[in-house]
Amino acid sequence: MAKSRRAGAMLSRDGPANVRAGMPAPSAWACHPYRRRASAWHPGLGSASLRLVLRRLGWGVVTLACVYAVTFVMVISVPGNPVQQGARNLPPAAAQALRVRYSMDNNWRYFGEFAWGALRGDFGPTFMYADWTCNQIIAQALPVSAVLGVLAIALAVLIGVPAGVLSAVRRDRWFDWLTLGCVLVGISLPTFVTGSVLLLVFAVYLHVVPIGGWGTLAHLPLPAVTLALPFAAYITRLTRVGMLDVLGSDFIRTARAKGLSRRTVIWKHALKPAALPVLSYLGPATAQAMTGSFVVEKVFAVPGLGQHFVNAALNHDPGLILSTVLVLAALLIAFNIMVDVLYAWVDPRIKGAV
Amino acid sequence: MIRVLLLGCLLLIGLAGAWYGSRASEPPADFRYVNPSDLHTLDPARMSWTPDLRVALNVWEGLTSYDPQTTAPVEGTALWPPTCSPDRRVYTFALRPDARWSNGDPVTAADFIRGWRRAVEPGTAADYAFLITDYVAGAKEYGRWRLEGVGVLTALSRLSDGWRITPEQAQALVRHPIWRDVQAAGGPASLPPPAADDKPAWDAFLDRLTRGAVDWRGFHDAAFEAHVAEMDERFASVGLRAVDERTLEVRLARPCPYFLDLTAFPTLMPIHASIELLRECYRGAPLTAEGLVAYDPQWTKPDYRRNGYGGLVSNGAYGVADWRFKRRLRLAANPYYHDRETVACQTVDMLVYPDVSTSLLAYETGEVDFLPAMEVPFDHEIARLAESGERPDFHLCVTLATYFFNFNCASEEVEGRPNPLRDARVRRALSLATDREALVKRVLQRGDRPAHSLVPPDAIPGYQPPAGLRPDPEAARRLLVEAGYAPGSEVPPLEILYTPSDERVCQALARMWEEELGIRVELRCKETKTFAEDRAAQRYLIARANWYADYNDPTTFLDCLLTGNGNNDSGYANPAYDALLAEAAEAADAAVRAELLQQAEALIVEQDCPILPILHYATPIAIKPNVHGLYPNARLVFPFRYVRVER
Amino acid sequence: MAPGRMKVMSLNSDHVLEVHDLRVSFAVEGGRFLAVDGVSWSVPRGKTVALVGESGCGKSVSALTIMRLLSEPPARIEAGSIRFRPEPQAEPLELTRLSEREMQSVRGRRIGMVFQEPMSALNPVYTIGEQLAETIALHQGVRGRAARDAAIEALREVEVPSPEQRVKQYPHELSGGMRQRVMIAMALCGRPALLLADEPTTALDVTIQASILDLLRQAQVKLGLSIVLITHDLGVVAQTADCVYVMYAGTVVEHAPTPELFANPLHPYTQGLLKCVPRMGGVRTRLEAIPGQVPNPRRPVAGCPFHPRCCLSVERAERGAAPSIRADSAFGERVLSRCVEIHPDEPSGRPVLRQQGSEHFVACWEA
Repeated sequence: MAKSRRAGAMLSRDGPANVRAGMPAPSAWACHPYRRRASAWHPGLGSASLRLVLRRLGWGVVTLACVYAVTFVMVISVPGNPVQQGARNLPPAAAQALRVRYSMDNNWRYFGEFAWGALRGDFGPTFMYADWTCNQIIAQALPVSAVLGVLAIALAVLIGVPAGVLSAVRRDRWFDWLTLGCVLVGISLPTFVTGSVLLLVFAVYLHVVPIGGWGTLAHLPLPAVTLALPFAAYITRLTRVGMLDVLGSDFIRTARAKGLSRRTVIWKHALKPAALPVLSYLGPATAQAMTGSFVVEKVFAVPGLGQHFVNAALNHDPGLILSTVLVLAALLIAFNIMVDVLYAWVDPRIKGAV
Repeated sequence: MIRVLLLGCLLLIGLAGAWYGSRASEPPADFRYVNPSDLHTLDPARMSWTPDLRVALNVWEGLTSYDPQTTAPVEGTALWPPTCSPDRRVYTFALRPDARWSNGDPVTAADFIRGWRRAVEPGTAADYAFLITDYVAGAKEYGRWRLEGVGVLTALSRLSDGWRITPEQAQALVRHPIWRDVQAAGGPASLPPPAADDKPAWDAFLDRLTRGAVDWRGFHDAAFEAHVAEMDERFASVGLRAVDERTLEVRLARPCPYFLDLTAFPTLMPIHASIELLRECYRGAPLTAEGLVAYDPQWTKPDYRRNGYGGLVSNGAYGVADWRFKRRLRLAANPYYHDRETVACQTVDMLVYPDVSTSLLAYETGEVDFLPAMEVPFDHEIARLAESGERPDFHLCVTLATYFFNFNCASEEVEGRPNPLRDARVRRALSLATDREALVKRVLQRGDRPAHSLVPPDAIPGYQPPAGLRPDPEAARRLLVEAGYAPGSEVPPLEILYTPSDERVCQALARMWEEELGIRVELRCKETKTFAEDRAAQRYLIARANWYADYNDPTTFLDCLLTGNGNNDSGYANPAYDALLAEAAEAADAAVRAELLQQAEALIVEQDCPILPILHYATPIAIKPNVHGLYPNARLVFPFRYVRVER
Repeated sequence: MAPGRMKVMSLNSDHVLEVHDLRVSFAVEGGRFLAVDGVSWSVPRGKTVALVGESGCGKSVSALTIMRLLSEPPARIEAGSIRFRPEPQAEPLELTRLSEREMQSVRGRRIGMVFQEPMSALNPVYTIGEQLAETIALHQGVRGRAARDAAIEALREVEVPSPEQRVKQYPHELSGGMRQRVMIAMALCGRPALLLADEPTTALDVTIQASILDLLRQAQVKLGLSIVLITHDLGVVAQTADCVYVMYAGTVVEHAPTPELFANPLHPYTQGLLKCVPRMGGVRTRLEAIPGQVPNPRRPVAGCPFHPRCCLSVERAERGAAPSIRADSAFGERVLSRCVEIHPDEPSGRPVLRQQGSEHFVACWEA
């Protein structure tokens, strides 16, 4: 934006003179073609965002490849025979034949074939659950995890942001102490404790929801709330800190001096800049909520991706380990990119810097 | 802007809610039970886990089936009783005229032959293939021949792809008739192979094989054609014959008093002909390039359509209606089942609850009717409730299964340390110093029965195991001195290898041995998969083990300790023991046979002690009081067609 | 009026703002301290009043107190009144007693404020147009498209070139001068009766400073605006103010119309300030400065707050014209004891404003 500053400075020096002369001064920057096209949608977007997305996508692909390579090395280093899932030993010839059939007799061959299959969208068979392919398992589990994760994050934002704002505004009063206490508990308590307690209270004693499972509306609230709590606690803290920081700024004083109501000052002027750290936290948080909900899935019997991730590792199942890791890594990268773009959109100061 | 974010969140929640709310919830099933993890496979030939077997027993029906209370074999798809030849080697089964598959096709003898053949094929990797290969005449030879062929075809296939093969594969290749053709073709591969232990020469040989300009693809295809051509001929020598469409004749290699028990097992169930539509073929022949018999693993799905396949077809009381992974398996009553009028529950749900405590909660609130396993951390509490009668719906099933410890009887050294357990006196001393009553009653408190023998007592009709060794620390100490371990030259430290669930027992054992015998014991815990590898490779001194009976006969336990048996992890090799079991196999009289088996078991538990029996399991199960037709039994067999639920 | 007579506050309907004996304290560890200690000043309608003083003399605090922008828990109005009369005939509003809601209707609508750092005074995540339109919507009641157009009009009024492009830009894309113009536009769009300008040109370079002050003057003429200009720059005061209040250590030490003050500064502090201003031409000598520092408000000085830095007091003490006392002074060892002791007429020890000429008031024992 150095261009605009120069043009602007030039203008302001000549400003009154030009105006007095009756001649409008052209702004070189304002007439720039990129500028006009982008500002047609929103002042915040522009070709810079497009370049940003492409650059991030490129790096994302590189990251995925590295993740694949590292995971592969770990998978083949772990002792265990994936083609033998039963308790008794297979005759060696049969084991060898099966390994050849699944391209697993030679590590390089497996590396290449799995990668090639993954690029075409086919993750191959899983040995743990012989009747299913990795594609089927992930296709069934990913939407579940996605819904649960997104719901949990939405709830966390809905709970956390207002709590953080109110806590910052009513600083050092009872609401603040109460909120900070809840935040501490929310971050410290593990999800299997909160989940089990919620299950007992709402499902067993009050009979409001079924005891776990998935498929209907009634199955949604309890796991979503359990998963949301630690995120909500963290978002509350982030919002509170951001708000406290922003509330002391000069522009808040200007907003108040304009005569705006307290509510407008807090929720419109203070919250937007204060929410930027929350936004950058939301990216990895959503990915984590979608993929790291192993405990919640176990306690509430939700058929999500988190438990496949863990069980595949415990069962030394290479196909499922690699495919879940790749899917999770792709999700994480995608969300981080989204957040970067969103960040640039929300905070116009960042736009040029990235 | 924040308004946008918050509105977006609300919108997402609203959408999710609307979507889920709009799905019509299906009616609950008539009978619901729980499985802690989903089925590993629904393929009856490949399954080995108890929950899978439980489903297979309801979805398919073998020649015989299990009585729900006694688990003795009763009538299945074949008419009861089948005819047996005087030398007890030939069984003739006449199938019921009204036996039908779930799509209406009649069940034929060919279906059984197809299923049994599939089970012994190397590509199926069946854990229980030995149930057929050990008993049916010619099955073992057929299996071995197929395995050889597969080995050679795999090696040739790898060579034609340009990859190197292992020395074992090369040795198998060299022994095969196709090698003569390879040599006749000349070229670098035609030189004779080196001596077996000459490693550098072997490396050079393998290199020549790989890099030499040999038409391996041609040799592979030739060997393939030859193998395929011979396959049916070879199979004809197996003792399975379809006398006509509805009559199956089985010729056994040796008399087997419990054969009718085996025919109820899922491995020996029939398979519908439509599976052939999903067979993998190579060059028009029904084998893969490696020579394996392989089917599309999706054949077990009820809604799989490919190549004209119409979904899973089964002949049991139930068919699979719907299978959602890690969520629910729904069984629906088979409309063509011969006893369909007696089937009370039209739909059965198997629900997957990964957390056992959650499944217990679901049981308590009435969302499930039956818990076939309750492995909760507070299992002593469950046992107490069951034993005291406070909870009449909790049952402790006395199970035909034993928990024991393997002693390493074979290795001289384990990881650099000398192995004192090669001496039977040391092993017997350890057994005498173990107070099983204390372990079961005070340490575990789960309601199990202390075990002094390998085979559970009062379980198998017509057989009582020997009394075993009662705790006698004095005698144990004398034995140790006799074995040469007087105070001064102590027994070297012993290491117990175990998995995380055995923590308490191993600590108790270590304490007992240290107190009574003064032996220092180290504990090493490993996670299950690596533990299994170590145990199979005999990299342990003492390792935990357990065994569930596959059929209702003592040999299911005793065969494990035969010399060279695939499950003989302790390395025990006693010709006297092998001789006793072989004699029992040939014995005509049941009483004589039982006597011989008892003698063999006495060798195990009273003299040589290659294993240390600890307890016989008592599995806690929970059956709601309004559920009738489920009976606690020793084999944990629960056919659902007898179940009636009062609501 | 006779010389030496104390200035008495009169309720003049021609004054748009009257501050009378305002005391504002802040809470710190260990107690409270007074940032503004009994100041009184008033703003005639349509005129520009300048509050001059060094940093820390309490001028910004006074302005913020008028707008009640100080957070009430740490800050507290101990005493005094601020009377605001937006129209000549209207009842005056007692600003110290208004509730928050009532103040919200005063802020921006009746009293506008412009701040010192245009860099940080605008919200960085909203465009200029959004912020302006918001203010316009609040005060003029128009919304949407009409507010946008009014914003462009407002920018044009403050002489921002190409306002159609500017409304879509963010504050960081504008220069300092441009931002200050926007701030002024925002402050004026409610057509207030009074504008408080807290060092509006301090952060800008000199050339832009002139144009901003010009803008303010134009607005005053066009809208009949009264301006309170807070500054430490005497050059700005000379250019724009009609009358000046010189503040030191939370009190007013001198008050006079601008030409009178510059021609005849009576208080030693004012004299010192005027001597500090560098002048072009002439012999280049060392720059004069007032030695010493502004006193720490937590440790108030006994007697006249200026006496540690007052050359007049030291001079007269040295001459021996009146009793003197040993004291800490930047100029010498002895100061007049009158400047230090508790005076019988004034229990607080501080001198009060006494009239020394028509409209010229000084708070000094020796002036």
